[in-house]
Amino acid sequence: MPDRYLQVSALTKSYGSVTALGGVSLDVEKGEFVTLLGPSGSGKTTTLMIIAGFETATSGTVEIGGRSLSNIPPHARNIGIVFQNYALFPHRTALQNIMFPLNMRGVPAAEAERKARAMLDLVGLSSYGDRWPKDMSGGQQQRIALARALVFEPSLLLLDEPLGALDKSMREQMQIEIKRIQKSLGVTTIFVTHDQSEAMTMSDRIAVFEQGRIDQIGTPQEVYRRPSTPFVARFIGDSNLLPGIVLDPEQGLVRTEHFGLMRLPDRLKTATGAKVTLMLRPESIHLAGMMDTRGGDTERMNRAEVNVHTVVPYGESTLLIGRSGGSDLRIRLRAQEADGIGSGASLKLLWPAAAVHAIPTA
Amino acid sequence: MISTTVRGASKPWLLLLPLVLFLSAFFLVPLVQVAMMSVTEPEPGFGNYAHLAEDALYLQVFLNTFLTALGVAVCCLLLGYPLAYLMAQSSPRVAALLMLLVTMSFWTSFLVRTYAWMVLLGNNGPVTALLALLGWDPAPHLLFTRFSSTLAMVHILIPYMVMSLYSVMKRIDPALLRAAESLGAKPWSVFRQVYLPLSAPGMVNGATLVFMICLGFYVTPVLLGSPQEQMVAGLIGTQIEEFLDFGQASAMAMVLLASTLVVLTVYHRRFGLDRLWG
Amino acid sequence: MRLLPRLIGILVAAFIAAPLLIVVPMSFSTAPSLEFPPPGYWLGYYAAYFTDERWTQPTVNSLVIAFGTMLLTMLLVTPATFAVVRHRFLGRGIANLMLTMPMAMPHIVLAIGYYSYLGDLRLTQTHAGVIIAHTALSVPVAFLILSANLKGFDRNLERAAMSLGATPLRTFWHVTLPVLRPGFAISALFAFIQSFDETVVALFISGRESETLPRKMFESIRVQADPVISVVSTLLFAAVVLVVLMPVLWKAARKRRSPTGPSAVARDAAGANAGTAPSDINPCAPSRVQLEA
Repeated sequence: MPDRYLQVSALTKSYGSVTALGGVSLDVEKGEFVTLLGPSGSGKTTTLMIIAGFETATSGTVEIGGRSLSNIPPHARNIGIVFQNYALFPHRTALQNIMFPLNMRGVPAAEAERKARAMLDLVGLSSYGDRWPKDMSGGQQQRIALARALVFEPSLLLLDEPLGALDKSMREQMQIEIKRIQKSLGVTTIFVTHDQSEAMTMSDRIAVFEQGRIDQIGTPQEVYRRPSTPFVARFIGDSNLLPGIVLDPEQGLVRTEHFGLMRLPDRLKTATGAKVTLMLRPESIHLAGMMDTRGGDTERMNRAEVNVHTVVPYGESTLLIGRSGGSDLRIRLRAQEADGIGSGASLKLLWPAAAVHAIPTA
Repeated sequence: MISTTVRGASKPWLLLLPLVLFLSAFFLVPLVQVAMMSVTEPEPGFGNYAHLAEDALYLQVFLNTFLTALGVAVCCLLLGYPLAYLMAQSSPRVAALLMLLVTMSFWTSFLVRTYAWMVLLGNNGPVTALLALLGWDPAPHLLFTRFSSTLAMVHILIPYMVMSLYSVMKRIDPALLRAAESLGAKPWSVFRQVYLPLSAPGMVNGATLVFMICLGFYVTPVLLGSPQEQMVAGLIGTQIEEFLDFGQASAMAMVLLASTLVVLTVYHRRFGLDRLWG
Repeated sequence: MRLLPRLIGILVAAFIAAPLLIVVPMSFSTAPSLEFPPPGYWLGYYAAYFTDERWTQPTVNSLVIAFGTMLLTMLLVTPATFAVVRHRFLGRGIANLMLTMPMAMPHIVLAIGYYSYLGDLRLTQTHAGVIIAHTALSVPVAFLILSANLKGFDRNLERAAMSLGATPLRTFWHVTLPVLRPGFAISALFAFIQSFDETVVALFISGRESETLPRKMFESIRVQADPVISVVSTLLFAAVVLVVLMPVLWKAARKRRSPTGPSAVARDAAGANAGTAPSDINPCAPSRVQLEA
């Protein structure tokens, strides 16, 4: 089964009475870049540490290429790891750090150095081989750590919040860099982060963790547009979450408390009277006058009127928070559209049915 | 040694075993032996302790020791505080220089420092000469008095105090002082209301250390102090060297040990022992 | 207002410095007894110190005993420290207490204990006896310093090494040990000095055969103020100055030589056990807490 290169099945981990992982399963294809995304304490790092072999699962298995890792100690797993603080050996130069895994594998010194230098080239630090870790910037240490984790051609690359310690511009640069290197080597990669924008820009697929479980696994578009739980909707991007009750599943109609009847794009699989949470991204709401509705599909439009009480300019866009009935609605407009709208303004709003996504509520 | 956490207790105990065995054999057993001697020598019973309680001489020595230790701790605090404060307020260069001085004193053998005071306070020494110059002639006999041993102990123990104080003081956030000032406190009030309370842990640590070390101090009181006003440790030594009275010496040692442990326990209850060793 | 505390501080600094400095001119004095200022200067007592067996033998004894104490202490303390710092287990608190307890004992109490106990074992007046007693006294300091270093050690370095293919043993050898080397060095140095300076226990248990330098000094001071004492004092003080200044000088030299170097690791690791003081001067001085004296 080439599709399932890394197979994580039903992992659980408890410390005494505390459950850190409550059954995590994940299949990763060869060459895929999968991000474990979630707040701290959601179990993503624990999962990573179990895959690496530094923690033992209470139950569940990890397999690579059909081979179970259960009884293989960390040093024999052939998995490259980049740690959040890089964990470069302070008593070795950059080049010596990269050569370490080759030394451990008994690669002859000359060949080890040749390979290490090639990795230095790949990460763009050819002339930094003789530097000590403490004499390098965070971004440079990061690249050395990456080179070290890749030089022995690991069967899997694990990245544990590797960008957390970098400043913003460096972080963006490294996102692109890591992605480039990962693609060029085709190494299967698991990336752990709590930063949703990092996850969105880098991943082939994202697994969203909540309290020791995976809420949803999907492409960035899937988890963004069709979150499977309110948590995912809240964690990824900005959203309006409106509770509602299914009125007509065939027609895709839901009644909400403060915004009346809401049209949805498709039929609903739930029964009449079922509770759902509707997710509406702030950027998919438009001013009634501004949106071209001549397309004829006015039937499929939702409308509302709110009183703006907060205006937050972001430069290229502006966030408006308006109130209708007892509920707030977040609206994100392009900056020019929002010109002249101040606190207290009354707005007529419009959004297509396609922008509304229903999340079944337990 | 590498694996994260071992659930069973066997592995850590295996690593600890050599040291635990060693300390049991060469630390606990000798201690127990002292305790045993105090109730078996020269004959079984609590005679030695009864003797301690009855004889005014012993009470006098214990009281003397306690008061001396207290006095030394107070002097160290009064002298050490301005120096530590100076270090905390100075530029890093000056602070480092002063710390260098304190560290050197700290590392210099007790014996060397005790000897230095013998030179300083001796009959042909500079202090006597200075006093004579100032018209105090004949100058009082300074050596082998309670004064000389107390002075030397203050000098020997002051580095402990300064280091305790400085480590706390340098962690006081200067922003707190500026905040107090901006809120209307005059310099003295800033010191009194903010700095002093924040540096209190250092004072307690330093004073406890100095007091405890002083309680059992042997070298300096024996070499510099008055033979008529011995401290406990010195008297224990005399009991053994001159009278070979192991029972009485052991009983006094047990009382000394108990007093030290009481100080430690009180400290531990209030502040936690981990902080004392800094 | 600012001036007065500053002035007092400077006076206290002078109070600390003066006695340390006075032994130096004394050692060159021609006077046969304590006299200051010295009536004349010569090197006669230096010659006396280096040629008189009554001084050289205790010096050699002290060096041998301190070295033995250092070795034995490190051998026992290293695995124990890993156990206490790295593991959570039943009895850990007791182990911790036991390892630091000798520090809280007045040395005179232990001196009596060793006098009679090592006497029973026929170990008084031997090097081995003094080494054993000094090791018990050095354990807490060595343990505290090493455990502070070990606590500051980044476990990810070991994880990284293992993920890169190093077995646990090779991880220890290639990563843990080299990174902690400064911690080990400082810990060992403290054990050495602890033994080299220890007076009270040595006074009671080291006989003529294993007489230590502090014992010899103590007795010389007590009996007659032998002028050679000022020579020994000066030499000991000079050794302290050298040891204390070494990191400062080393750092300055390194700065001049090149901007990089592996010794920075040493500095950082030493700084890890900080506690007090500008860490580049003396990172762990306060750990030398002993109720010796």
